[in-house]
Amino acid sequence: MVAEHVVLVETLLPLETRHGRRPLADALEPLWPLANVYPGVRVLAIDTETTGLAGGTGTAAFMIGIAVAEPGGVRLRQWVLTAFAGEAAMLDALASSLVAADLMVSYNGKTFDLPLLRDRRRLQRGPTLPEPPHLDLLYPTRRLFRKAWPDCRLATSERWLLGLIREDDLPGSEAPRAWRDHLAGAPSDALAGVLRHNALDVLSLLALGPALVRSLREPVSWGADAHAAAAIWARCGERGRALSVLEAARERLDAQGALELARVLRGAGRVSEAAAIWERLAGDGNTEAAERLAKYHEHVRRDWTRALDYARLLDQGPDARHRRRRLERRLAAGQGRLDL
Amino acid sequence: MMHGSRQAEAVTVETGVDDPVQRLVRRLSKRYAGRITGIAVLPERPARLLPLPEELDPRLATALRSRGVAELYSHQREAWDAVTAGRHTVVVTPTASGKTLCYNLPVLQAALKDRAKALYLFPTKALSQDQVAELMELNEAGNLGIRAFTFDGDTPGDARKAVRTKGDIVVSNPDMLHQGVLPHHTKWAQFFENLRYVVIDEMHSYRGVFGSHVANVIRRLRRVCHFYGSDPVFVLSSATIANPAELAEGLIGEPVTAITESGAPAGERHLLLWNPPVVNADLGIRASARSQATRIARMAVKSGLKTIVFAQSRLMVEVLTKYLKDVFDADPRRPARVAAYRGGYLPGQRRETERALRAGNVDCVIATSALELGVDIGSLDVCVLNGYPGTIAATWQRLGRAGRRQRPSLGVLVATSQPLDQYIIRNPDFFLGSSPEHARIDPDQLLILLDHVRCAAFELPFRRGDRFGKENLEELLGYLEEHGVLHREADTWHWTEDSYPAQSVSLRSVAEGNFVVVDTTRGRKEIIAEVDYSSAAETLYEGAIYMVQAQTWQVERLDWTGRKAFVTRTEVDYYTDAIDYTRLKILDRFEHQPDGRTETAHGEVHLVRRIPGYKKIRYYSHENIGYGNIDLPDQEMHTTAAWWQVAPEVLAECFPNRQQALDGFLGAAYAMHHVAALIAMSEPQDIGRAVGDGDARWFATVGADGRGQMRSLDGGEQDPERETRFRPAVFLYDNYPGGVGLAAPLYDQRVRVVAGAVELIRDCGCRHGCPACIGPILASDEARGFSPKAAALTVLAQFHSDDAEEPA
Repeated sequence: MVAEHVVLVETLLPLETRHGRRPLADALEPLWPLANVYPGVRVLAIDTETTGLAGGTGTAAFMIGIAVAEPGGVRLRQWVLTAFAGEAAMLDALASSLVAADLMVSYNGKTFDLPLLRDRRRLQRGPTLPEPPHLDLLYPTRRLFRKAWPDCRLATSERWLLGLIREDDLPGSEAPRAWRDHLAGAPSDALAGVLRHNALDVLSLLALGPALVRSLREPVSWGADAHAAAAIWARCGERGRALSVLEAARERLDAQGALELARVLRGAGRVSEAAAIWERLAGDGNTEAAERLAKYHEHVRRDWTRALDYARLLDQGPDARHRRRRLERRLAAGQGRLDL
Repeated sequence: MMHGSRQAEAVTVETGVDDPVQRLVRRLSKRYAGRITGIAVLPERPARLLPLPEELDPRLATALRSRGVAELYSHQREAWDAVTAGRHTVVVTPTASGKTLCYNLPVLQAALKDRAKALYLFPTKALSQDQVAELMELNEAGNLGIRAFTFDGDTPGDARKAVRTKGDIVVSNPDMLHQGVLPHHTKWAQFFENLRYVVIDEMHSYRGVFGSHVANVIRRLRRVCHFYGSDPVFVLSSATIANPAELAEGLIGEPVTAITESGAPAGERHLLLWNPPVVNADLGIRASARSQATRIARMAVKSGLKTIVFAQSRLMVEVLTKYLKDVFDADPRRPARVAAYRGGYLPGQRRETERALRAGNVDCVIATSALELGVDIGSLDVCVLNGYPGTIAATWQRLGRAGRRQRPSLGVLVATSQPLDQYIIRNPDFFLGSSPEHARIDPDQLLILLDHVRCAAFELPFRRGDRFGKENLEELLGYLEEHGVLHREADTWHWTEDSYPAQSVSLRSVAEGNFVVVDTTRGRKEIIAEVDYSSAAETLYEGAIYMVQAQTWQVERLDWTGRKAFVTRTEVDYYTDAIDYTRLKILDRFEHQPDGRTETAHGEVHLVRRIPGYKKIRYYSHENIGYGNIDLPDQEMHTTAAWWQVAPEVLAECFPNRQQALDGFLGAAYAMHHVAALIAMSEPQDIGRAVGDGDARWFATVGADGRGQMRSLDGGEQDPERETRFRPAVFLYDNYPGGVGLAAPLYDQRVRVVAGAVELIRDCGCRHGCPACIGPILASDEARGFSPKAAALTVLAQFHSDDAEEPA
């Protein structure tokens, strides 16, 4: 009991504890390129259980779980309100933990948990919550797996990335009722169920970051979208990694992915390989590839006949019309090099 | 309205003998003297001007001068003095008298000097757009750098944060405040901490149920403000009603200073009360109001006068528009001179019509009350009311649409054959002499109050000793606690339910969402209109002819759950009108006056409304050319009612057969309904009427032959002689779920309701009954062997008897 009406449940889990298929030690692995981290960084995972999902000032968090991986183990802290009167003290305790963290990891926390905690803090007239940099894993998960999975709920991520199947888990949607029953004086079995559920959530958050990094390195074997993975690498300046990810997935890329591969290849100076991809795509009627080829043959190969062939596949827009006219003029002027 | 255009008008207009409005008035009074039952002329009124306040920020004064305003009208200056002294203020002024300056000046001053914030609430989106445009003109003229943002359902998600934190003035509506702002007040903390003024424009529209809800939203707003340490001053503006200060005080729960004398100039105004000529003396049938309204509008437009015609229903707007377009817009190659304006049109269409009106490109507009509010359409010369709008206040508001500052204008009230219209038109002194109605609200109506106690508890926990409304708050909180909505801890009630209560509370009684009308002609898929839930059943049934700007579509399919009606273009010579069955069951008697023979009572009833079919009515001749069936879900509600019931033995003594008794009840109900609306000072549609046994075993309607029919639950016709329990009653019910307190006053005034109905029927000039007393009767009734009018009076005599025997 940290204060009246707040119970703190604190657990230190050894690093070899298994969470799904993997040990918790994974949580110490770096999060690059999802977040820019350096050795010794303190990553804090956070998840709340609330009185409802509707949002607005009338929705409160009655439980907050945080977890930090340290060399000695994963430290899990869960605060549970036994009455509304403990809310201010719980938020104070959370604030001091947040001050000590360098990065906060959540799942949909940017739109749900943190705004809610901020609103409740305001209702308590407490000082603003300290907020370290925030990595919300929902967004990269969606980018990488939207096409592959039926949904991107936390339970789905756990199953596919961590191999964790929950048994006897109290569904999150039951949590509000469990707490209401507890307030009404019901035995706290259900609330204990919420505690277990929340603990699994927070541990999964710690483990999911490194798992996502693995899937970024080898998207094909994890069933992730290689195109999206390459985009994440490219945004962090890792062009070589972006290229290798795309090349490894070459056979599985859709048209957009193949265009991206060609773009990265051209950027790396491997223009003829890029052209080969465009040709295959243009053969399937892809106009963007045709446009690339028209440009390639006009400006790189200076083969105006082929350039015009591709230009004719393009739509009727003013740019395409202009290109066709210029090429026709160039052809009409013979082989000479026109300098327009 | 700024008065920048004042000088321009003064130069071009000269009031003289040759004024076209005066000429039209002379022509109408000469040619149609017999139809005009009352004339009034309101003299021209000069401007009363006062200097700009000395403490006015120089930037603001410069902006005003650059817009041609060097002095203020007296009411604008009075408003400044009251508001800047920190007094809640309501300003009551006619259309186009510069009311917006009354609140814009103090608001801008506070924003410039102290970066204080203001919240503007308008009842509709269209209005808020107009007012923001005007505010921004002043802002630009003075380069004031004030930021005004609109926050409503159309504000994109990524712009909302900027509105919350950067807006000096936030423009919204009560619905958005209720559902989108207050439940998220922590996000608006900065705004509420600095909130100095709350402006409530068009206050008169917050009456009845809507007003009762809004008063509670304001209670919540003030509660949230107190949490953030602010206590804003309210500035309200209103069209003329009898009790502006009382309504304002009811809405904000504090004493309010009322400013009621306008200092703006007004031109001479003519008013004619017009009764259509009698075309069949025996049946008391008069020419239709629409034929008269069309004629007057035609003459006005031909005289080069900008004209507005107000109709009572959307359907009538379309019918009148067609008639006037047939005259003025016969050539499709020319730009339209006639336009329709009503609820249900898409916002874009309405904006376009408003622009055309302001620019003077349209000569005649036909509108519903949608235009009654302060939508800026510029000034017009002639206003024709097709039917009495139901209240004196609404009549003056609509008439106010015609009238320029220094030029005569004309208003014509054309009576329909409805009893209320006929009463008003035959007693011109009643209309010209009475003050407008009181606008009433009942913020402590239990259902409404409870809704908002829930919303308020969600926003901030209640503590023991808190107040919210006049009822015992702790009892309400206890009730919510029992139902698991709130949880009490020591002296505080916390919200614990997994819900967002504002979502399920609609401020307007129509909660269930609008229907869209989708044009599917030739494979198209285009939304052409929206219809609110309450009128969907009677306008969008399959087979209905739906009209927009007098073009006709037929409803092919109605998707009730998906809230969509699919229509195709069609050319027909008729329109459709729905038939409506209502049956009632008495659940509880609160008070009653039984004497064994008759019973007068009020209490709770359960009501089921069914729309079983529709009539096809031919244009111009208005003959009935067919019927169609409608298959729609019943609409149910619990509400309160007053009723008058007579025992079977008594009826057997008074009537030779039950058919006559039934006709008598239907006639009496018709007259009582209209008298009740007058007595309750409400709009007739706020009160519903029904005839039945009060047990939902049977109900009565007027059949296609004009005679009363007794119907069973499923709508099947029954023989009244075979009914074992023939105890008919007249019900007047509160047409709002739960009731808003209209039934109890009707019970208290039961003697007046019956006496008024007797007077209305007895004094009517017709022989056997007409639409002006007991409702329309058909020619064949001559042959029915008894007078329906006499039957209605016999029924009313029975209602009268119980109270007549009472000691005074």
